[in-house]
Amino acid sequence: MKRLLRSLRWLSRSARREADLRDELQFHLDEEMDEARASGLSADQARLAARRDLGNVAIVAEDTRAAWGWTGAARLAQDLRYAIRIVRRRPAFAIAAVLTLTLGIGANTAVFSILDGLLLETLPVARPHELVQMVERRPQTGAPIDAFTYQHYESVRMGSRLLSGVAAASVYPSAQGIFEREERLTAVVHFVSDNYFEVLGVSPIRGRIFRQTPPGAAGELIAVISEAFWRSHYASDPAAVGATFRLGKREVTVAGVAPARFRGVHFERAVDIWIPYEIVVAPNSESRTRGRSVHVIGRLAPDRSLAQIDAEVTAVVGRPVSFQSAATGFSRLRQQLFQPLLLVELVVGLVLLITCVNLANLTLSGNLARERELAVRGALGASRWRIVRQLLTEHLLLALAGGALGLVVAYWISAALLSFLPATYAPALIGLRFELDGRVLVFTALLSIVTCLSVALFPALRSTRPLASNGLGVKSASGAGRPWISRSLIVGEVAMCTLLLMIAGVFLRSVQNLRGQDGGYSEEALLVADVQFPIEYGDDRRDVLIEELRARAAVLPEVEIVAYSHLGQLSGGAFEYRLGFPDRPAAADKPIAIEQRVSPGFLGAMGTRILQGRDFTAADTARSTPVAIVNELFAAEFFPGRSPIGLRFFQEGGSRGGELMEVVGVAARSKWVDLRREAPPMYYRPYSQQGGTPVVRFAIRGPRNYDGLAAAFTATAQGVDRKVELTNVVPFSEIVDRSILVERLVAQVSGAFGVLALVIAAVGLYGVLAYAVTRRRREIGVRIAIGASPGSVERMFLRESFLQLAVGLAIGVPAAILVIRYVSSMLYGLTPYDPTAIVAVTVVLAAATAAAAYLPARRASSTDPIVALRDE
Amino acid sequence: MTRDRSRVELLQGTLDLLILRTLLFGPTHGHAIAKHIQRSSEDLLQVETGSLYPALHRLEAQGWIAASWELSEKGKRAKFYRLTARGRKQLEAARARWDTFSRAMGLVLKPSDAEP
Repeated sequence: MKRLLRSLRWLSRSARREADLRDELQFHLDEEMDEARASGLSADQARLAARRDLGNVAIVAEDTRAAWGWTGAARLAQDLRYAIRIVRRRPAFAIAAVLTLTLGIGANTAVFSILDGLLLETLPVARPHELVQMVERRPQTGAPIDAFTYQHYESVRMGSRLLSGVAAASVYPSAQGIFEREERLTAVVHFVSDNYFEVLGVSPIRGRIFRQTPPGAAGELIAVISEAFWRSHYASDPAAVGATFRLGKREVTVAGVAPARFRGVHFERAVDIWIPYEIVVAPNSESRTRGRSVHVIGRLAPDRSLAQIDAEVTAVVGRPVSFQSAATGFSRLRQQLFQPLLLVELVVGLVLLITCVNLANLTLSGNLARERELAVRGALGASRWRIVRQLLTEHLLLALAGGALGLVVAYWISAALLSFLPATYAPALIGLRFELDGRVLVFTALLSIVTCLSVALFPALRSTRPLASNGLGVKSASGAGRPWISRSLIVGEVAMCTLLLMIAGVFLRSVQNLRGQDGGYSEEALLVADVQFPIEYGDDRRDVLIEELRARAAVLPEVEIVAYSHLGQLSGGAFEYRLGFPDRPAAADKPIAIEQRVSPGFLGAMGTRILQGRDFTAADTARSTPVAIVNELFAAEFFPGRSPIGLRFFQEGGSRGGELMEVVGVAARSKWVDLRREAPPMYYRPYSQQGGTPVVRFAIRGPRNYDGLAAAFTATAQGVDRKVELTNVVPFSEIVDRSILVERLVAQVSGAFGVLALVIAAVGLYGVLAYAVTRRRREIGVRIAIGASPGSVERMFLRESFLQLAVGLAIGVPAAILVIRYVSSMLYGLTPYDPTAIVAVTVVLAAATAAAAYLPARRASSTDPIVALRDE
Repeated sequence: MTRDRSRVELLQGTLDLLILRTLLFGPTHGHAIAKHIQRSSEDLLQVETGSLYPALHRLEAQGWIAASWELSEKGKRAKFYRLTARGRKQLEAARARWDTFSRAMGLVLKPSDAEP
C-alpha cells in the first residue's frame, strides 16, 4: 500500500522530474560548450565536442532515471501505454488472441476448479492429512475393496499400535425414516463406531459427542446431528440437545450438534444424523462378522510411514491389506469421474497448448514484420532486455485480458460440465460448483502468465537477436525468417489437433455403439417415474395404492400402456438368484439369473417382445399358480433344445424361495444392468406374486409430450395419495443417457474442444501462410518471371502445407493411440486403433488444411511479377 | 585526445566517495564536480558524464546529498548539490574504509616501503 502511494505520488511528480533532468543535462552541455569555446574552438566545433563528451543523452537520462529507484512502475506504465497502442494497431490479432485465450484459460480453470473440489478439498477435521483408510486388493481382479466387516475393524483397533486411532464408518450413509411423535421424516443416517468423532477430532458446537465405551459397558442410545439438520429441523433450538426420536424400534436421544462445516466423510452424501454402530448392532450379532459394511479409518501417528502400518495391520488382520490417504474422505463420484476428468483435463490442456503454439507462431510472423521498428528502437538506445520486456508486456496485456474473461467463461463451462451429473449427486454439486476462491484465482493468474511467457518469450528473444538489429537495412539477411521454426510449430499444432480429434472420435463412436445397439427395449415415447408410497403404510396397503395408480394412469389421454417393475431397467442394479430345477440333481455350481418383478404389460411398455407364450395378466395373483416369463438367453442356457413353456424351476432365497414357478412365456433378450454388459439370462415374475418393494419404477408408454405427460402422471399419483414421493420422472432416454454419463461427458467435451482446436489451428495456418506469401513475394515474382506457371506456385504452397499435415498426423496418431490405450476400458465396441476414427480424423484435418491453405496459395499464384519486383 | 593517454579507470564505488569529498568544500553543480575531480587528480581521473549523473541521483535518493536549483556564477539556473549530515557521516566512514584498503594494497604491492 505504502509502495503504491509512493508510486502514485511519484507519477504525479514525474513530469517535473523529467523536465529537471533535461535542464540539468542541458546545463552540463552548455557549461562544456562554454569551456570549449574558451579554449578557442568555433561554436560548431564546441557544440560537437560537448556532445561527444556527454555521450548519448538518451542513455545518460535513462541510466539516471534508473537511479530514482521506482522506475519499474514508470516503465510498466509506459510499456502498457505502448502495448495498448500496438494491440490496437492489430485488432484482428488481438481479438483472436483474447478470444482463444479466454476459451483456453476458461476451460482449464473450470476443469481445475472441479478437480480441485473433487480431489484436493480435504475433510474439515483435525489434521486431515494424518487420516488413512484400509483397502484390500482382490487377488483376481486387482481392484481394491475399501469395505470390511466390523470384526476386521475391531481387530485393527485393538491390534495396531502404530495407528494413534482407528474408527469405523458404514460404507454409505442411507436415507432412513425416523419417527418423532408418530410424525415420519426422512433423514440421512450414518452408522459409525462410537469413537468416530474422537478419532476425526471433530468437537460439537452444542452438547457432546458420543465416545468410546469401556469394554463390557452398555452404550447409550444417543445421536449427534449435523448443524444443517439442527437448523432445518429443530430451528437451531438449544433444546434440541436432549430431544428424542425413534429409529426402528429404538428411542434415540440427541446428544450434540456437529459443526456446520462437517457433513461426514462421504463426499457426495451429506449426513444428518450419526448413530453409534455398536448400539444398533448387538455384540454377538452375525452382521458384525459377515458382510463387508464398514470403512476402516485410521489416524497415522506423526512419525509413522504407511509401509510400517501395512505390515503391522496385515499381520493383525491376517489379510493382505494396505493403507492409503483418507484426507479427502470417501467418494464414489471421485472413483467414477477421476479418469474421465483427467482425460477432460488433457483435452482442455491441449486446447490451451494449441492456442499458445498458434499465438506464438502468429507473434513470430508479426515480430518479423516489426523488425524495422525494433531495429530503430535498438539504435535509439533501448537495450535488448527493454525491447523484450516491451514485447512481453503486449502479450501480458492480452493474456491477462484472456485470463480475466476466462474466469467468467469458466463459470459457464463448469456449469455445463456439471450439468452432466444427474440430480442424485446434488450434495456433491455444492462442493464442485465454480467458486472464485484463492486457489482458482492463483491458478488462473499463473496460467495466464505462463501462457504469456510461452507465447511471447521465444519470439521476442528471436526477433531481438543482435543479428536482427540490422533490420534498418532495406532487406535484412534473415529474409524468410527461419521458416523451419514456424513450420515445426504448425506440425506440433496438427499433431495435438490429431490427438484431440482422435480422443473425440473414439468416444463419439463408443457412445454411438452404446446407443446404437439393440438393447431389447424401445426408448421412444416412454416416460418413467420412480414412485414411493410411505413405508409406514405397510406392504399390502402400498401394493394396493401402486395398483390403483396404474389403473388411474392407464386412462390418461393418449396413454397406451402403464406398467411397473420393482427395479429400474438400466439403473445399475439387479437382483440375482441361484436357481434350482425339480427334475435335475442340484449342481455344485448352481446357475444364476437375474430376477425382475413386473406388472402385466411391463414388457410391452418397455418394448421388449414376447417371443412365445403369454404375458402376465390380472389373473396371475398371489393365490394362483406361481408363474414366470424367461428371456431367450435363460431358455437357451437352462432349457436347451426344447420349448420352455410349461417347464418349472425355483429360486433359492427370497421370501418365496423354493417355490416352483411355471414358465408361461419367453421374452426377447434385453440389457438390464447397464449398456456395457451383455444382456443376461433373466426371468420375470408377476409383482402380484412377489411384491412389497419400497420404490417401484413406473413405465408409461404414451404421447411424446413428456412434460404434459409427466405433469398429468404426477397429479394422478398425488390424487391417489397425498404423501406419495415421485423421483426421476423423466423420459426413458434420459435414464439411458445417465447410464453412459462418463462416455457422453468425454465425447461431448472432447468433440466441442476438438472443433475449437481445429478452428484455432486452421486460422493459425492461414495466418502463417498468408504472412509467408507476403514475405516471399519477391521470390514468387522471380519464379513467375522465369516461367513458373501460377498453378505450380499454388501447388508449391499447398504441397508445403500438406507435408506439414502429414508429419503432424504421423506424430499425432501414434501419440493418440498411446493415450487412448490407457483409457481403453472406457471405450465400447472398438479398439484404440479404430480405423474409422483414424480415417475420419485424417479427412477432417485434410479438409481443414485445404481450406486454410487455399486462399494464401491462390493469392501467391496470382502475384504479378512486375509489381512484385518493382516493389523492391 | 591526448589527455586520455594516462587516464585511470575509476574503481567500482569510488565515484561516490569522490563526489562526497568534493561537496565538502560547499554546494556546487554536476559539471563543476566533474571538473574538480579531474583537476585535483591532475587529469588522471576522468569522470564520465554517463556515470556522474546516475551517481548524483543515487546519492540524492539515499539522502547523502540534497539538491536545489540555484543560479551559477555565470547567472544560469543550475542544480546545486550539497552534503547532508548523513552524507558527512557516510563520507567519514567511506574514507576510513578507503584508507584501510589503500594501505593494505600498498603493503602487499610495495612491502619494502612499508617496513621501517
